[in-house]
Amino acid sequence: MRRGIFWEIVALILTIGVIGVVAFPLLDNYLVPEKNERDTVFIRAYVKEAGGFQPDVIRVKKGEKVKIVVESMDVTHGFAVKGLGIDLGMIEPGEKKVIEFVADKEGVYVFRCTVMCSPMHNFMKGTIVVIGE
Amino acid sequence: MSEIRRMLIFVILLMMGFGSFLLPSVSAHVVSEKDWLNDPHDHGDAKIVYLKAYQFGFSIKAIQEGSQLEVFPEGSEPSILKVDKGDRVVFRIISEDVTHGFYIDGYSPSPVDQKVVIQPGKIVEVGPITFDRSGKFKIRCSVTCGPLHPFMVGDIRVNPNFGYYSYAAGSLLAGILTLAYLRRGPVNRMLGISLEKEVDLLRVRGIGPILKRILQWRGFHFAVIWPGLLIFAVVIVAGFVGNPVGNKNFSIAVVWILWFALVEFMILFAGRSWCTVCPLPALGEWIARRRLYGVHRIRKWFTFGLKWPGSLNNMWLGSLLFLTMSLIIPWLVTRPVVSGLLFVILISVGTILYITHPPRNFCRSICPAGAYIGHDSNASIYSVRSRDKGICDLHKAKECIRGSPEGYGCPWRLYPGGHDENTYCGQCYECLKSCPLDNMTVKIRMIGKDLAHMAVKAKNRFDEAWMSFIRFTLGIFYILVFFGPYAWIKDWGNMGVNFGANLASIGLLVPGIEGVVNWFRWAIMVAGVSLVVYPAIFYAFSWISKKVAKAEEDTKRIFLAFSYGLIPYIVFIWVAFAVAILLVFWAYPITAFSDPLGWGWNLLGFKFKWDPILPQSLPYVLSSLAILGMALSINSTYNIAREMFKDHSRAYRATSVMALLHVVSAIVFVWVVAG
Repeated sequence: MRRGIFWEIVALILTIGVIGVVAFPLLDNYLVPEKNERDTVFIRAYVKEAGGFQPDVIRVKKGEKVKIVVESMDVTHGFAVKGLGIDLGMIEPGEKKVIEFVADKEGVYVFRCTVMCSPMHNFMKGTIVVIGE
Repeated sequence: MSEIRRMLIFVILLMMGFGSFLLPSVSAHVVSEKDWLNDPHDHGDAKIVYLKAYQFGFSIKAIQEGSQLEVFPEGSEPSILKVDKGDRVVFRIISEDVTHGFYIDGYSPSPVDQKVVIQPGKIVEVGPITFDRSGKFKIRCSVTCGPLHPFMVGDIRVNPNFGYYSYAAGSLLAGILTLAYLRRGPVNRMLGISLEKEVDLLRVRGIGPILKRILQWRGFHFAVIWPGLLIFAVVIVAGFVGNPVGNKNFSIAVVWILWFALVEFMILFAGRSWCTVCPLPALGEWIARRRLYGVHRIRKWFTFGLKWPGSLNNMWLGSLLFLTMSLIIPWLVTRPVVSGLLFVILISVGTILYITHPPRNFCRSICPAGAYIGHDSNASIYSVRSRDKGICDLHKAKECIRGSPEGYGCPWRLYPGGHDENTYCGQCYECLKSCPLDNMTVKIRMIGKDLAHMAVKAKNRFDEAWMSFIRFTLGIFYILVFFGPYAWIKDWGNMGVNFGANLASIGLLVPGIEGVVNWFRWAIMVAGVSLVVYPAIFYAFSWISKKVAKAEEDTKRIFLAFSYGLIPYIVFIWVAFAVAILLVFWAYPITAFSDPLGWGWNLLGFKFKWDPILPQSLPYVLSSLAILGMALSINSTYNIAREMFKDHSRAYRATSVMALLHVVSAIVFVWVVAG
């Protein structure tokens, strides 16, 4: 009898454990969505209909080194900032591409998706704002 | 006044907004027909095929031979390219909407080494490719372009298509050979193997005792359900928050590629083993029993004491729900959120019904997967049976029904000691534990052993007959839809929605009016073929076979009985479908274990790119499986007729008529995959 109860408890713990195993990665990603160190920006790319680039406004201090990680969340996207001479090429779903740069001129730069990704592809864009000291 | 002015400004802004939305998307990325159809290069004697890729298919705009250009009019552009063996072909490809890829089975290099990408606004030239092998080859998209990307295919038929002709003739030959074999009047045999012979798996030397200890271990059921519970928890989470594109998402890749395919093999080799490990009703079972491991009687006060209505003690609800799921299948198997919702609904209903109406009434009569797995597993080589029915009849205590301290009474409401069909046996192995006489076991037998006596017993089992028709028709129809070149059917079923969706972007799934209308067309087509057309043909053949056999039984009875003969056929057709899915999409589910949400994780340290295994052999592998199923089916029909008419000559004549239908079905199947 006591043996039986022992196994019941083991099974119960295992079952509750399932929730934990599933919840852990979610907490990791949702409660701390931007595991941003101070100079790293994570951008998630969705088709424009589902939200486009998130976030789509990035503030950067002039002269500081910035690391941008672009992650495609649904279909194949691209990422390019014309004013800064950045082009990451194609980013396939689930793929991440990283660019490091120093913005040395104040101003507003537009970044765009470079791969025709949906009917509203042309509106898939965002801005990098470089602020002076 | 100011309000009117504000309204006006708003309307003007709105119009400007719409204008700016329309303008760039039309102009920026379209290749003009003049640029596209005007090839500046000299390709010698090669044919030039002007191919356009779109969500979700390929079609041919024009074909150029020498200086002669044949342009197909808008709306009747073919999606099947017919060439002769030895032709050299150059493809000039454009994309009409988003970024696509281009890959030909057996002719393109592995897409991992070399990927052809077709961006809108650009003309991509591939070739010249020399088609030096005849047969049917598929053009596939190799860039994830949207939810139905895995099914974006076109056909290339390299004439003379000897493979197709020989397999079509092979179906006929296999039918004739089976009939020639049946001419000798084999009693209770299936393609030469006796149906009397059974192997008592738990008494096989070596593995038997080990297996018996495992199956009789009280913790066995929990131990096999738990991993499934973990997987389905991940499925639901991934369905709701993961990558909206299906083939990158655990909920789609693992459920509709891996699980779906494995279940078809399980049905053949291990009966309802999926129902052994299924976690969907498990929560309800554990709550109602108030035990996860041990044995504890389900109390009446706990379960409200409601009774399961007798009118639901059949397969109608399950088979109609299976058909309903089939109607939304283009969404179900490509949109993570739809799959996630389906499993939440199934788990909730399963749990609630187990508490209010224990034991496994949900699994018996409602679960759509349970219905088809149960029905098909009658063609399995696996069965849970009593060793000696005589012992069970004399043993009055009947622990297998009532339960004992070692095990529950059959949760599937069967009498395990006496039952002889797999349909409603969920293989939970409680009877192995509760039987004090050690009379329950697992038996391996030849395919189709139970079909004859089931069919003769079935006087009014229209539910099971229609399950056969639904499964059989949809098996062939889905191969045509999902692996066929006809983009318009996919578009109808898909309601013209080109977005994937998780919970956050579920709004993208709202279809347009045209999409809904088209979906109704698709639904009428699917339901019409499976519920009306094929059953009507089957009825007509049953009527003819009654006349030919000069049988006294009424046509209804023959019709219902012969529908059981389809079961081995169904199993092999769906196994063929499973083989196609696994060989083409194997990379998706394996990668999904490493990256369940499609967010670029690499938990297990491996990732695979899409790279089909021997896709050019698929037409022949699939046809062979279907022909094998056909032969088994003809033999089952004979066994059923023999049991029903108790006479070889009548049974043989009736079988010959049904064999004609089965051969024609096989030729249709061969045409779908190889023609």
